Parts: sequence; structure tokens; C-alpha cells
Amino acid sequence: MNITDLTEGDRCLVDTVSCPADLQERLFSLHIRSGEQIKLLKRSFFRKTFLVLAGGSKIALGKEVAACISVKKI
Amino acid sequence: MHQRQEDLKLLLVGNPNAGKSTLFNALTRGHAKVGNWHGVTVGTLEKKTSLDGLSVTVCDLPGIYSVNGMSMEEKGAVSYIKAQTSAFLLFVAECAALDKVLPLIASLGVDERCALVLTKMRQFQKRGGKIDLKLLQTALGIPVLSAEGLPRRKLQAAVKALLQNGGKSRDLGNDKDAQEVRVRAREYQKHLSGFQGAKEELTRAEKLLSNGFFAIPLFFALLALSFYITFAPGLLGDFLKTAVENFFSGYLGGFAEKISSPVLRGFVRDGLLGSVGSVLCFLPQIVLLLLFLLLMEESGFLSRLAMLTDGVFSKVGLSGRAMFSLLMGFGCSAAAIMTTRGLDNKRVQKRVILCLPYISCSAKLPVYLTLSSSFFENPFLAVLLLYALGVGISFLVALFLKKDAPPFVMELAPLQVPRPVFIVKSLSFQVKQFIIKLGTVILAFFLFSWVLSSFRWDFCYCTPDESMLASICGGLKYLFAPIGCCDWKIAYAALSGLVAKENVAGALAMFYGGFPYSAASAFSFAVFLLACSPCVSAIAASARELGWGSALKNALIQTVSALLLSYLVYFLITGGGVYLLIVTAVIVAALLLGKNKVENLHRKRR
Repeated sequence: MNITDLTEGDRCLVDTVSCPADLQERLFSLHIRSGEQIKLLKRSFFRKTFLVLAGGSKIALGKEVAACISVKKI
Repeated sequence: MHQRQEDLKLLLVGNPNAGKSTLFNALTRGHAKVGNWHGVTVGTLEKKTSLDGLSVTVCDLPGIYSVNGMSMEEKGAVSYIKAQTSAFLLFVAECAALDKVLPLIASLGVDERCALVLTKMRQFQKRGGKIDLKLLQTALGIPVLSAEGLPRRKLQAAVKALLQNGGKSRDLGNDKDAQEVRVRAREYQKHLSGFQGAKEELTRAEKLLSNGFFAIPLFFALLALSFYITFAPGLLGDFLKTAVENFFSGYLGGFAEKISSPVLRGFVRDGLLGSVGSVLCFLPQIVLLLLFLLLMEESGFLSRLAMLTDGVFSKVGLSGRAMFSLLMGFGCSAAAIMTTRGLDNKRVQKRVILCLPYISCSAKLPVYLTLSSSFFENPFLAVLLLYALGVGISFLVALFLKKDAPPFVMELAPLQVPRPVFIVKSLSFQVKQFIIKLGTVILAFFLFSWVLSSFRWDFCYCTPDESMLASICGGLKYLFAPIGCCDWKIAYAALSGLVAKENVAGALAMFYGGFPYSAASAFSFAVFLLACSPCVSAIAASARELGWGSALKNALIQTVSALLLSYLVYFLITGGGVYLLIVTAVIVAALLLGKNKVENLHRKRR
């Protein structure tokens, strides 16, 4: 499953991040990396953007980016 | 090699929204733009200053997340840092986000003299966070300072001490592999006495402002309210504008009328008060609009809007990050163009730059208000219509140029009550900049215009239609003839907007006092100004990003298409719409008939 499959309030562990290298680097810098715990705080209407809590910060992800991040629910 | 004191360079390095620009302003008394948004600083800003007697050049840089940055501003910042071989790196980190800057220290600080400054300590401690500065200093091997609450002189002395005592961060060995660096940086976190990050639950305000069904209507409501307060007759903006107008035309104008010399009287009344004064009277309304933009940015609402509107922007090939640049366009096109460096790549940047001229900047406000009185009794509705039209055209341009939307990843700025001191400082700076522009570029232009429009070639005082300017610009009268203004003065006023958009209102005031043609002509002229090339400052900003060839080509295309659009609007408004409908209906009918005939022919042949 990936972030787009989560419901608000779900906590999960990031499994893999499958996207171009520069985007992966940015996500890594923001603590969205393999093994890190994140929480889905909010989905925007029509599920176009996803607000997650990662490494103590709130990160907004577009749908395409969220779909690249596979997770395991805790 | 011993570095001369005057060669000392101090680079402020850190994540976006860490407080680098605020620190820069505190150290140098500078005016770097600050705001509650990740990506406010998009270029390098340098200023020489004295830190407690030590002469240093302080450099404010865009925020970076990693040395392999994703956006253009990050890549530019990293290149700049690596090119400064003997600079001192001052890492700036928000306490709550300290762990994000550790990999930067590990990557960039190993071979360079550096130190760390922590910001927003008070906020962090309020949330139960603790950082042991001595422990951190030992772990990193570099001096660490908390900037919270330090007055300017103490901050300067403290930074001077860092410069004199700074060292190189702990050597991670020869292995510069990014993954290894990040793993080592994580180990440092074990030395930190546990700090707590943001609360895991959203506050009520955050929930509301992250909800599209609430936040988007709220944004439009606030926008309409700010327009209403600024433009509606009898309200604050109109009241202040009238007060300034009365001062210029009534009080100062009265003095001008008493001047006996007709030349000097004309110069003071038309060249100074009529032109410059007519622009200055719009300053209160410009300030009110800028106040709205500042409050949006400083509160953190802008971040949430960018998140909520990413879906809409992606439909036109952009991302929510473009929201910041487009909103800045309501303030100043040139500044908005510079913010596009924060976008993902050159292709996206180019598309946003091409959309920006259609976003009505504050400089267009004086001329909109001057023209709107010709076709709308209530300027509030007129200005709202013109702004909405500009946004609509901007989206159409983005749709026309549409390519794949870039990926959207953005750290949200914290929600906070806008700081009154910061708001007052920012507004005062903008007002000062406006008055400087008025007193230099705009005044010089009007003096030049007044002299050329008040004297013949033999330097006899005359009316504008007999003047040197009339003989130079007479041929331009046909430019706006299709919108009912066969008048070189209107064309001259329009072209003066290339220098500064405020000049258009001033030129109309200088020649006519208002707009002398019909409502249809006024509206069509307003559409031209809305859609034409921006001023030379914006063209120059565009040239810095895209090159002069592209910038000038875009400016020409925008001006020509704006002219054609104004002709079309005038044609439609003055009843041409009926003819257009008839002609369109005839063409569509002819096409359909023709299609049927061809189909019948094919059927017969079979």
C-alpha cells in the first residue's frame, strides 16, 4: 500500500520510495525515508494532496508523489 | 594563508524558513525579504557590515535541504557555497528542525570553518523541547549559539566571537558518499537531549485552514473584504485617498494657482501636482492591498493555500508552489518573477513568468481607478472585475502552455499570528521604496514629459497639441483609434507604462485630469494595460531568468496581443458582439451544410 491508501490519523512505517533521484533526495531530507515513521494528518478534497507528519514537520505531498511512497501500517 | 580582515565573508546556510534572512537583517541592518514561507529568499544577497569592529561581508542564501537540491534556488545556493573557498559558513537552524540541518553540516562543514546558530528557541521550549548547547557543541565539534532574544549589538559581538573561534565540523573520514554522511549525521542526534517536534495532532485552526471546503471560500471572502475596504466609496481606502487628493489639489493646488508666471504655474500644477500628486494619492490603497498580502504570507495561510490548490494548478501544468509567485504578482511583477527561482525547473519557471504579467500588480492600481470611474460608479466592482480578468487570462495562458505538472512536495510553514512589528517594518519599507521610485524614476519621467508637452521647438510655451511631444508622437494617434481614442496623448500614456505602470495614471492626469473618452474606450484601454508587457523592471527580471532575447520577444508578443485584445473587447462592447454572433452562426451553418453535402456525396458514390 502507499500513502494514498491511508486514512487520516493512520501511522505507518515508510517501506520504499520509488521516484527520481532528486525527488528521493528531497523526501529523504524531509524524513520521508525507508524505516521512518510518518502519520497522515489530512487529505485535501478530492484526494489531490496529502499532509503528513514526518520528522516533526508537516509535509504536503501531491498525489503522484504520495503514490510513490509505499508504507506499512502500524 | 592569512586572510585579510576585509576579505572575511560569512555565508548564512540552512533549511528554508530557518531564520537566515532575519539574522542577516539583524547583523547588517539590511532589508532582505523575510516571511513565513519555505522559499522566500531566492537569490544571494551580500552586504558589508561591521560586527563589533570586524568588517565582514554577510551573505544571505536561499534555504537548502541537501547538497543535491531539487529546485533551482537550492542548486544555485550550493554552487555559490562551493565556489567560496575561504568563506565562513554560519549554519542557521530552527531548534525544532535541527536534525534536518545536521546532514548539511556533515556535508558542507567538514572542510570549512563553520559554526551553528539556533533560532526560534522560545517557541521550541514552549513545546517542551530541550537542547543542551554544550553537548551539541562537543558532538559537532563547532561552536553553537542561540540567537533568541539577543539585541543587535550582542548578536554582532557573539557572531564575531564565532568567526574568531569557529572550527571545522567532525571529520567523517574520506567517505563522502551521501548515504554514509546521512547515517553519520543521524548518530549525532543521539547526543542531543531529546527534543520534541511538532504536536502530532492538528490544532483546530490548522484543521480548518487545511480543509479546502473552508479555506478556499475563506480566502475569496478575505480577498473580497480587502478589496471592499480598499476601494468601496466612503470606506477606509477611499477616505484616505480622498484626503491625500484634497491635500494636493485643494491645498497645494491653491498655492499653485497663485503663481503669476504661467510657465511656472503650469509646471507646478500639471508637471508636479497633477502627475506625481495624482499617483501619490493612491498610496493608501496600495498599502492596504500590500497589507493583505503580508498578512496572508506571515500567518502561514499561504502555505495551506498552496497545498489545497495544487490540484487546480496541476490541471494547467503547474504545482501549488506557483501560488506564492502568483500572489506576489499582485504586489510587484519584478519581485514575483524573482520568486520563480524557487520552482522546480526552468520549464515550469518559464511558464509561470509568462503568466505573471497578467496578474495586476499594485502599480496598475492608480490607472485602473482613474479609468474605472468612466465605466463603473463603484470602483470596487470595476477593480474586482479587472483583477479577476487578469487571473483568468493568466490561467488561460498557463493552460495554453501546459506541460506535465512538476511533483509537489512542500514543508508547511507554522500557523502564527502575524507579528505587528514585522508587518509595520515591511509596510514601511515598501512605502519608502514607492516614494523613492516616485521621487526619482516617475518624477524624472514627468518632468521630461511636461517639458516636451509644454513647449514648441522654439521653446515657446504652448498647449500639448502644439508641442514638441505632439510632433514626435503624433503618428501614434492611430494606435488606439480602433477603441475610439484617436489621440497621441492616450498612446503616449500607454507607452509610458513601459517605464513604470504608475506613469499611465500620471500622464492621463497631466494631459486631461481624468480619462476623456467613453466608458467602452476606458474599459478597452484598461484591458490593454492589464494584458500588455510589464514595466522595464519586470522585463529586466525576466531577462535575468530567461535571457534578453526571450524577455524582449515575450514583451513584444504580450503588447501586440494586448492591443488586439483591446480592439476585440471594444468591438464586442459597442454592439459588435451581435455582428460577431451573426457571422459565427453563418460560418457554423455553412460548415455543417458543407459537411452534410460531402457525406451525401460519399453515400451516393457507394
